[in-house]
Amino acid sequence: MLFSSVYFIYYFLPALLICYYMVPKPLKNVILLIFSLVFYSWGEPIYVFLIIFSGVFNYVMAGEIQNLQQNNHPANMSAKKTLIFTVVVNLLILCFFKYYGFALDIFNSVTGTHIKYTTLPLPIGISFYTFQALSYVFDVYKGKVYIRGKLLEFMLYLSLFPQLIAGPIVQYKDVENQLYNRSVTWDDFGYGVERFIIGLAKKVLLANTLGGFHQVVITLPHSKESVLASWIGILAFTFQIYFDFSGYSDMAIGLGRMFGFHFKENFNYPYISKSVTEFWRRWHISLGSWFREYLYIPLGGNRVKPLRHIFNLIVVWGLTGLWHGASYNFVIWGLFYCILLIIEKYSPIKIPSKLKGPVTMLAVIIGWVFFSSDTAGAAVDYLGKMFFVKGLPLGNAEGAYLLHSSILILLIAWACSTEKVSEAYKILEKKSKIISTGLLILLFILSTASLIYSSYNPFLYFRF
Amino acid sequence: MNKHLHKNKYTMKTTTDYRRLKALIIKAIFLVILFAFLVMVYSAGTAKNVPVNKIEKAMTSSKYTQGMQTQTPRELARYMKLSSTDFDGFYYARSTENLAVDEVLVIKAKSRSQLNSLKDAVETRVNQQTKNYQGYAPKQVAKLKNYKVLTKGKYLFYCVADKPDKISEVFTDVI
Repeated sequence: MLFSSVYFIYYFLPALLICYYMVPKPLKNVILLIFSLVFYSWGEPIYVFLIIFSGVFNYVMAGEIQNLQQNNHPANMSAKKTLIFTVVVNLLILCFFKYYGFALDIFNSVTGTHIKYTTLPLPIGISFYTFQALSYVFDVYKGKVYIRGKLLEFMLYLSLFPQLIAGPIVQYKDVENQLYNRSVTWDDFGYGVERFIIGLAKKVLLANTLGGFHQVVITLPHSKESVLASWIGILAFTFQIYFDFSGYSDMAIGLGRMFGFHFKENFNYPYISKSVTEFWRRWHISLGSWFREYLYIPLGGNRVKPLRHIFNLIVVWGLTGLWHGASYNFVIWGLFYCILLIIEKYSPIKIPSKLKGPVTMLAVIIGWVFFSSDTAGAAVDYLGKMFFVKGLPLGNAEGAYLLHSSILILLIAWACSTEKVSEAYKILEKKSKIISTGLLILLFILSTASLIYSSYNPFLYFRF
Repeated sequence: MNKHLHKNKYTMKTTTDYRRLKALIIKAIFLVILFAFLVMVYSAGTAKNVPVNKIEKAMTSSKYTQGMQTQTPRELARYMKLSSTDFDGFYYARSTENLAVDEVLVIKAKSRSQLNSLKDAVETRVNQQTKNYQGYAPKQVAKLKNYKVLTKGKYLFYCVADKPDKISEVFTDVI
């Protein structure tokens, strides 16, 4: 089920809110868990089994790890062995659904064989909830988390519908107390509704509109292509992916707040960054934190010799790329950032401070070419169109028409991707609650109207 | 004293052995359940009950099917030799440009038993098209060789296109 669907907004959410606030406190988690599983099963009923299996398996294994550590068992029953077993099983499940086709394609192309395989639909959110489960098991092993509750609370942590299918990747230690004891004030609830509407508007009004322009550009016949059109296309995608994903995160954070959960922010105006390092501190923060805490730092982080540091970066960014999808272009996208980070860290050449923002943005836009393309070859081809390599004209009638029709939405998108619009809204909110509430209601009506008339538009990050 | 110590050691060893065995059994049970589930998912290829118009909506809004035109039951009978009344629904789109072989077909069968005959119909169509283009249109023949057919639940999906995998992703996303 999509947050940005009429069914979710007008049926599922009201029904859940009524049930949740009517039942006594001890039953609230049960209601949330049932609705979360219904929400998940809407997409692919059979895969509910997978998430339940993942919950029970990781809970039992974490319990065993804790038990082994407490009782100081002999080495052959060590907690480390159980940890490795748990991690391997989790990764096997992930690889089975996400990477085995990619692996077989590579095998076929290397060996010249033609092994056929069935394409299975990817269980929605598998990358997100697998990482959440792994963070829990790692934290239990490290002693950062102590299992104090029942399976119900852990299952709820794993399957909580606001963040279940596209993040943010919530770590157990961040919501542990809220799972057992939380309350919702009117202010909390109001803030949740506000964040949800803002996220919905980002997705429906901005991301979907921008996505339309990107689609127009990539389906242009060769005779109508131009350098200008290529830039408009990738700029539209650059803002589309930001508003799509940050819109989803806003909705998730808002929905969480309506039920008393305080999730960490997942985006912090990434397009105002002045370096690639800063960009990744502002973009998909929960994924960056996960990789930093559970992979980069255990590998030694940056407190090692330069060569080892470069190796650590290659591993982390190769896997970050692969996490996004089983395709070469995602791996290249990850390694592209790895190279940029190595240059930033070790290059003696320093960029003048006034150029840092534009240069970072240019690098990010080039990165999105790999991200938005179907194959690495298509990405290189698109880059050729952007940088005059393909011999396209700078502009033509089609490019001029695209510029004319997209310039307003691109400018709005650019303004909304900086903190200026958010700050202006906060000032408005302080000055007049009536006007700011009216604005939210207007956004909600426009978004709903757009939803009714638009076609199927899933979130871009659903595929991960 | 020694005898008592020995007994304690023996009890501890037995307890440790018992715990080790219990842990191993639990892990084995998890693995068996997981393996059985994965085999079932892989072999069955389940699907939701989605109306064909929803699939059509997703297909027509995909960039990979641009240039194809939705076809009527008449064209389904003419090109695929299938009668639309035999099924719960269908979506058939094909490129109408000269020498184009691009086409997408999604059929919602009335029962899974129809799927094998549908696969045969697809194979006949691909063979016929390959014969039509063999010898003078190598690009079209290569495209036809790269055709994609898959079944999921009561649905059959077939497509000939530049990127059949991408179009099949649209289909699997919806169902």
